[in-house]
Amino acid sequence: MRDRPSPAYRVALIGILSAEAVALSFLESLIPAVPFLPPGAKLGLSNVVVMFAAVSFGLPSTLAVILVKSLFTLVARGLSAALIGLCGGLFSGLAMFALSRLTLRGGGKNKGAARFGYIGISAVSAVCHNIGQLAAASVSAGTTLFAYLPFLILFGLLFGSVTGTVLGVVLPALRRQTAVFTDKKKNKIKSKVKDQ
Amino acid sequence: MEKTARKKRLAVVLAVLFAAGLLAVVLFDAFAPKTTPQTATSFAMGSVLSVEVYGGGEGVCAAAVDAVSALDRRISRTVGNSYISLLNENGKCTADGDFADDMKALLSLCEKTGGAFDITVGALSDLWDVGAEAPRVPEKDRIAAALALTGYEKIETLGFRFSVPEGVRLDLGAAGKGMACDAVKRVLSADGSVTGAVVAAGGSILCLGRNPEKKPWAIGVRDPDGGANDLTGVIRTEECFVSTSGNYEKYFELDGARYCHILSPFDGFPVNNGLKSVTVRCSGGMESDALSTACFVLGEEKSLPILTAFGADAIFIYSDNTVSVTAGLAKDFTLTNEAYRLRGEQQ
Amino acid sequence: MKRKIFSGTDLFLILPLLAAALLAILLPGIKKDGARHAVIVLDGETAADVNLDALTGPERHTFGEVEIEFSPEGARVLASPCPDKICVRTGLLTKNGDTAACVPERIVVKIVTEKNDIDAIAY
Repeated sequence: MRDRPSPAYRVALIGILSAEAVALSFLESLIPAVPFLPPGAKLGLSNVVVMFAAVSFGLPSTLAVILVKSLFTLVARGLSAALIGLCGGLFSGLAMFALSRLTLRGGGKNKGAARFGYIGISAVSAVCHNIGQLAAASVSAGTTLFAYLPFLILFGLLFGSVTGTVLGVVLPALRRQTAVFTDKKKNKIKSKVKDQ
Repeated sequence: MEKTARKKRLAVVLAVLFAAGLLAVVLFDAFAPKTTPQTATSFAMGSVLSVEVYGGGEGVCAAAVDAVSALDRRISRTVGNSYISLLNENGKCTADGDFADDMKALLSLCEKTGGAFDITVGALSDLWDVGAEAPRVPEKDRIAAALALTGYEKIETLGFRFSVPEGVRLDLGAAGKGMACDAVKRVLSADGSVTGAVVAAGGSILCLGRNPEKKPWAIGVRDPDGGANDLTGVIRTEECFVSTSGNYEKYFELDGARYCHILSPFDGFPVNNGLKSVTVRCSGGMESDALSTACFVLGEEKSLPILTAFGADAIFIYSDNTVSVTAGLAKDFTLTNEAYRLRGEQQ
Repeated sequence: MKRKIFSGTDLFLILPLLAAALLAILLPGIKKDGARHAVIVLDGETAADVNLDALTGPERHTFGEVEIEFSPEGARVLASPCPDKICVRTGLLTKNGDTAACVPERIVVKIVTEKNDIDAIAY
């Protein structure tokens, strides 16, 4: 029924997106730390790209980007940081997928329409990211870390909303990027849901 | 289409699981014990006993408190039929195995500290009666008489039978709180699921295992001139026992001089050697308590070889607000009070 | 499909989380400060240091002739033989620094908040 996207082009696009995610993550690390933030509360700019992958291409592609990002963390900051990041990323990615692709409106005049805005998806998935990281970190550091949980939720909601807005703003640019990999003829990469 | 319906159901299920998971985590944080320890607070050995245990079976705190109460009943001077009281009253007593073991260890400590720690100071402390309503400095001949009734070598031991000459009084106050910590440690160690504990019997402290954040224990060293929560510094340490002896716990002042409750078994007078307190860290409770008293009596220089012999370390706080720390503790101790300064490491 | 940056339904996601987080912070189950202690000073020496947060119910103890009640809410002097009973009339002590004193009985009760990172104090 739907066109299968050309694997080669798709891999290439995922690669580009992954690189962008890594680059954003790196840039974000250059920002000096603000003193009163709980550990693990980051702006999460790279999630803009991850979320784009989630809403446009589905779960496998999203997980791929997350995996590449974790590999980068492995090289840059070591095994424990990578595992913590992976845990947070996976939970967050699942949330993005669930909230964007699995919650389309069922019936009536809005059938098939998106239910949540980018801010909602992004805020919740940011919170999930923090929770996943907290769970992973507490394995070695003890459960007292959970004292930070309410603050991580608050900051997750806040920063998530920011990145969600950013995604909304840069969406046209990301679509144009996707279009580069689209060919009017057979080798098309078609988003599973149009005009997303 | 059917596929959409299935997808929608999946979405609903996922969403519900999701929400449930988040709710569970948040509730866990708000209400669940954040690795809250089992605690018990009791009054024993003349001061407050507080026990905090991480992990451990049900009732482990109660068992610890019971062990201390049992110890109290054996060695307290305020308990009428404790072995110590019987010994003081009748000049002799027949005790049990636990008491005999304790006495053996105590006498060994008396010997190894050259008598600076001496469990027969009862006559002297009764005479000085530092906690009395109207304290006074006793006359010299009465001090001399009490001194003549002091001396651990006067205790005779035969198996479980103990005897002392007439007038000799035993007082285990200088080691009792450390012994309470030892008793608690035995109970907690017997419970295999205890991951960490911090116990305070008066000012004697036991640290066992690790705290839930897997960081070293932080033991505050009280500022002799400050209130109950004022510190001179902090010791960050793994498992150990810590005890302090100081001139500020119980004392009276007369004509500008301070007479504290720690008496020298050598001259019969309250210790007055320029020290405000001595804190000892080592691997035994009775030891840490006895050694802190002995070091306080002896002063820093004479204490060093004894500390080395026991593998113990100490912090000496002087009246001029300088602090001396032995080498083994230097990296674990941090001065937190600006009024004090470090003298430099000792070896 | 057009997806908005923000949709009304987003609030269904955000508000519950927000509420849960705020609730978790404001509820007393969260210990932001350290444990509260009631310190009894009798005749100039500390006679007792009771961790109020570790209590499960009210407990009474007598110091000399003065009866004091400790509870998770705080501490108060229940009875004292002194003539003026100022100590009793001070009522319930709850916050860091709250103090009741009975001069004739030479006893002081005060609430102290323990520093969070100190596990115990050797004195």
